[in-house]
Amino acid sequence: MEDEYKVGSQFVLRLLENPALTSFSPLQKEQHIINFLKLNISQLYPTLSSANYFPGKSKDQIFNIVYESLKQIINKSLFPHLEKMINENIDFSFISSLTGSNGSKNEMSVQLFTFLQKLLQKNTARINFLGPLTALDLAMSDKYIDESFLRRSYLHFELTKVQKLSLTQEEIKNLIKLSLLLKTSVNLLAVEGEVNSQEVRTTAVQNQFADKVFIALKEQLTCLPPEALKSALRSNISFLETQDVEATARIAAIFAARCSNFRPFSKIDRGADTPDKSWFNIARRNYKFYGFDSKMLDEFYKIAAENGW
Amino acid sequence: MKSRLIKAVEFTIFSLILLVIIQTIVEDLAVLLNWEVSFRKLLIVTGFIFDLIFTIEFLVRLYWAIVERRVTEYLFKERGWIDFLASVPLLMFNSGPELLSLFTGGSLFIMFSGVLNILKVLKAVRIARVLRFLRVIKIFKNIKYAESVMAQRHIAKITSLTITSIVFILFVFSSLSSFILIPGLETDYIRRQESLVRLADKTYLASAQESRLSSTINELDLSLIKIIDKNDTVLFSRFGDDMLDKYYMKEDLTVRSNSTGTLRVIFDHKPIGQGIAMQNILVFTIIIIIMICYLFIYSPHFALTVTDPLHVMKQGMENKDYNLEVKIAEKYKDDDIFELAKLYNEDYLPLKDRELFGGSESYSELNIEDIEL
Repeated sequence: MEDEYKVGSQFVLRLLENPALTSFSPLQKEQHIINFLKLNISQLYPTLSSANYFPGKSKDQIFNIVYESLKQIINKSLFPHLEKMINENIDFSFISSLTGSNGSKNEMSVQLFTFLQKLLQKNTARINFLGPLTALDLAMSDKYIDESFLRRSYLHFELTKVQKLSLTQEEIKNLIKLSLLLKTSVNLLAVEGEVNSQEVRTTAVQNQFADKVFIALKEQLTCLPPEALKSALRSNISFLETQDVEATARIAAIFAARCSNFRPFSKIDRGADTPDKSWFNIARRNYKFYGFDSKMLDEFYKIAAENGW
Repeated sequence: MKSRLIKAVEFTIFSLILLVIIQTIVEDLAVLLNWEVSFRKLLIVTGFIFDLIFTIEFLVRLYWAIVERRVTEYLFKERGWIDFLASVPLLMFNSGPELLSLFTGGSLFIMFSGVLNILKVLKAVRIARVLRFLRVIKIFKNIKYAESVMAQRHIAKITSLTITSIVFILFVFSSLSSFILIPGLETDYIRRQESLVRLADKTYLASAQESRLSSTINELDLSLIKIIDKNDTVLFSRFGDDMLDKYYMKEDLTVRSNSTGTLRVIFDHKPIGQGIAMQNILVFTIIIIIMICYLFIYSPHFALTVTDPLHVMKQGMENKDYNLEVKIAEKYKDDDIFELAKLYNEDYLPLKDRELFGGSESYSELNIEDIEL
């Protein structure tokens, strides 16, 4: 068994070295390799089932061995990155403003990291985690929330008047970051199986299911306030079906979707619009399909257009 | 290694194209500004070397095209006809004869007694030097905004049409003026020279005294340089021989004899050559300005309104994760291409997005062909 994973790791390492994947993040690389395997397993099977690789194994068995090897390799870079992000990029001090109680920040970050490590053993969660993680890496909330506070338009109104967050601008940004980080916790109760990519982008989760996950999540993340957990879970609910979805959840849903297929453009083609502006404009047309808040998309589109993002 | 060699060859050809254009202009400037003969001779030699190099380049390319059985493709698709027009005819009818004349001491020109007519023929051939400018088309691909094959073809087409039209018109007019005596500066020049020969003949007959002849002739016309009698005695000379050798080539001079053949009168027809050089420089300037306009004004416009939106749409259709919209400029929004781009932005991309990220389709940047197992 160990030998099989060794062979699997060697195969994965060779795939990871492919120049086509150079510009992608570890989770994006993982996604491309999984898709590559899914699309080409039939063609690869004669070679992969040969004596040099996995003799006597079925396609599914080979896929699972390679996937497990891939996860182990990716985890080596993903988890330290995640830990660094939790410790350095998220300021948990907003929790005391939100709840009025002072919890240990260290305890919060340790509990959060441990939870995510466990959650990311699930394939579904890994796939769904790509968008939120990329959104955090790209500091989407820093960029767009700062701008929305300058504009004091729809986004600002929804955050401060509708959701009634009595938090500072920085605290709101951190709440959105935490919502992004925990968005994937909706997969906490998911049973492992084939993942439909529709689950990745659409806000297809029902309110009742989110409530069910919330109960389970609250038990595991005792240090984090229910408001933050709800914001994270309800970022998976369609705004068109549930109009009272928190603004922070709607924002997290949009940012995660924006970054789920984020393509790093080293150079934007002449004659093409900027990446964010293009994406928000496409999303504005597909808002019903994904269950996004169209007015938020309009504002993000305007911000992206004005800033050349 | 191979690509470095190709780059080196391309850079050399690029440099040669720029140099040959400079050389072509300087050659006429040398006549216009009355530069020394030694420098003008050097320019004739360099002109010949350039044409020889480009002829060899054309022949090598043609040879390989024949070997690879793609002559038609080379001549028309890869614009081999430009290589031909800008090399072989120039070597055969312009720089080749000029160099030959240089080594035969200008006897090629003297051989033709109707000097002005040969001048006209030469003028017609020299116009063909403008064809050298066509080579610039070959370096278009190195210029920003003209990277696309379509842009290159369009810019090359319009540039070559413009240059060949100008050359054709100039060539026809110059050739016609060789055969039809069109009243003008040159015919006046011939008449004046003939009158001066008759006058010199009369003056010579009236007074055999050299000094008197000189003072009369000196005042007649500044283009009269030398009078020699049948015994090769110089009766009049405006400059010393060293001055003549330094600033006059054989083709700068016209020799006319009186009816009895007792006198040979040598005229300076540099002003005619300078007029031609002036015309050439004017033509070159027009062409350079037109090419600059095509390259730096029309090319970006073509890219902005045609090739760039097409390129973006092509990328979006070829690559599953390419989701950049076409930037539509307000003033061009009614162009067919931008109406198409609007459909691409508003219908195709959202549909693709739903199909790819909302459906069950998956894609990967990895291709099975790129994987070595």
